[in-house]
Amino acid sequence: MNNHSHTLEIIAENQAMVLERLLQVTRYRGFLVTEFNVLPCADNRQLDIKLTVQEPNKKETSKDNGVQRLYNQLNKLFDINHINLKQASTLQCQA
Amino acid sequence: MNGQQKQTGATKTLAILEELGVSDIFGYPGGAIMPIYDAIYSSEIKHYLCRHEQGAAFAAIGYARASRKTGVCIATSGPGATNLITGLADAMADSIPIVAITGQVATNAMGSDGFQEVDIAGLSLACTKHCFQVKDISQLSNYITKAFEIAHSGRPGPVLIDIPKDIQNTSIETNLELVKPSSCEEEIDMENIQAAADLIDSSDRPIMYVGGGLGMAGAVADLKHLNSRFQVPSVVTLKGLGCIHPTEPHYLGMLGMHGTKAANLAVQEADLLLVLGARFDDRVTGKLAEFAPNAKIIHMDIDPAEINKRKQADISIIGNLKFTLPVLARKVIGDTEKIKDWHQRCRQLIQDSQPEFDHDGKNIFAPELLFQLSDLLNEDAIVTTDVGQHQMWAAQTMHFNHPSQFITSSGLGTMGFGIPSAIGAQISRPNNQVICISGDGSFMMNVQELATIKRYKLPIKILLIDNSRLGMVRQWQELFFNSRYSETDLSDNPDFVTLASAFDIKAKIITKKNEISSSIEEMLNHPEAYMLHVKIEEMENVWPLVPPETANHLMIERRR
Repeated sequence: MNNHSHTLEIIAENQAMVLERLLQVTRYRGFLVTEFNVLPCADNRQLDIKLTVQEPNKKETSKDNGVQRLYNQLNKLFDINHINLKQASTLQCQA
Repeated sequence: MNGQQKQTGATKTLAILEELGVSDIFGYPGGAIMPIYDAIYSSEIKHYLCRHEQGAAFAAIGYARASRKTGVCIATSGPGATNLITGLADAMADSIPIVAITGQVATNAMGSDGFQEVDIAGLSLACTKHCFQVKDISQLSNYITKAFEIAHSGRPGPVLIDIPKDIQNTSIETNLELVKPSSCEEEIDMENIQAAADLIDSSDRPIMYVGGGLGMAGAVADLKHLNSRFQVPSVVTLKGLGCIHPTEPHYLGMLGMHGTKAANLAVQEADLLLVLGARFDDRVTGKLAEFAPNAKIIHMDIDPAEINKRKQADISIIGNLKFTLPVLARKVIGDTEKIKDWHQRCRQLIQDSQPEFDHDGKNIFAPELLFQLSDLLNEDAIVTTDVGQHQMWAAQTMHFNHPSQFITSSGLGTMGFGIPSAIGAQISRPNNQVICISGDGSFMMNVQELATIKRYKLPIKILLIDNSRLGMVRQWQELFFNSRYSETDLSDNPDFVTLASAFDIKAKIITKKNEISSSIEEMLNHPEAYMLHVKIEEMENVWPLVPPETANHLMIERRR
């Protein structure tokens, strides 16, 4: 995992298409998926998702916080209930 | 409708739409949507048959933009559904609340590559705010209600509901109970509001940069109230036109690629940008790194994802402008004396960049034509446009009293938008004058909707500006591709007057400057639909122009 690797812990409704939508936004906003784990929550109504992504085009010197923008876009999705953004155990952002 | 009664998924769909207040829908029938069309046959809801599903989607957008209601369009599965996609993408780009209903093959055939089967839910991922696919009749009521709620809540946008044919045919005995839309209370960050007010009061050269979000929020009057107390010089985006009346003394006009010199220079000189419902679109900012280089930024928007997306904000206020703007206005002290030099500078810029309509010869100069048209329109007239040079000339020269009066495809820039969106606008505002300004390229992209105009006897006026070219592309070829005019010559266009006549729409062609005034009056006074076909010179360009990846103050002015 390099410095531009980020992990998003996501709780989503267990609805058709939620995973496609999540991956579509991730791809479109310029991120590569390096790890993707999905498990149904105990009640089977929600999904517990762990998504690890990289920004392949980000320059080492860039101050641009692209993953925050990804977080913002994913957070708008109707079936996403909660996102926790982690970055190399330094950056944390609560939905 | 009364409680316990036999229904099908199709009749229930119509009943729910009625309960939600839908009175008009636009669509085109086909196999997988036939049960719903059967229900439409005996419904109170008025269905408008367009002649292409794309036309139906644009009509729903025009309807929504003119009325601030949610537009509804409907199509069959497969090609019917895919023909809606451009409309959905347009609504997504311009944040327009529409709900699209598509038929789908029966649930037991889904995934079998059946006739007219397409994964429209999958296709819609990138161009809808959300999509529902009904897999069980018990989901129908909840999904339709939620679709309308999602379409108009927060930052508005398009929502798709895909309903398989067997679900439409399923008989049900049910109490028709709508799921109550959830309420949403605004929480306003008062700390940021105060910080924003302090920043405004400490600024020497503030500019308000107003986008389409202000009108969408219904906050035009709130901005006017703020302006009446403390007049911050202002610029607008294409979708923000009409938010500020052009007669306001410190209104500098539209900014960006084809914006006024005054607007672009003032933004570059500003020390503060108060951004209201705008998103730093690339057509607005030019070279982003050099946009408003000396300005601090206060960004107010309903969508948190727009904050810091393209330009870092010093202060951000997230929320509906209808609620946040009046609170900010109360906190701003507003010392006009402090910015009197800036006012003077802005007045000078406005004076120096008045539009020029002097044009040699007897031929028609489109900006002058549109300026004259603007003067002759009713106060509440609605103008729709297609996309290209005519769109920019309309934006530069015409005056609007409210953003709902200028309906143009801003974000997606969709040719073929003008005629069907005018149809939707005229149906939602039947007593308003509705004028579609089109170009000869765009006109041909949804020309079939002339049949819809005729079918419903809509008194829409079409001003067709014809340079026998794909004008904006031709202009770029001239300026940036060494005048290599690849596939932009449309001199083999049909005879447009004869074409309109084939749809039983009165039409006339003009070619000379001295015909403008009387012909516009003739068009506007005609009680039915009318098309005025205006021939202009092939090589006319839109000025000013900010070349790509160039700072806005380096715009190219008119070349002779």
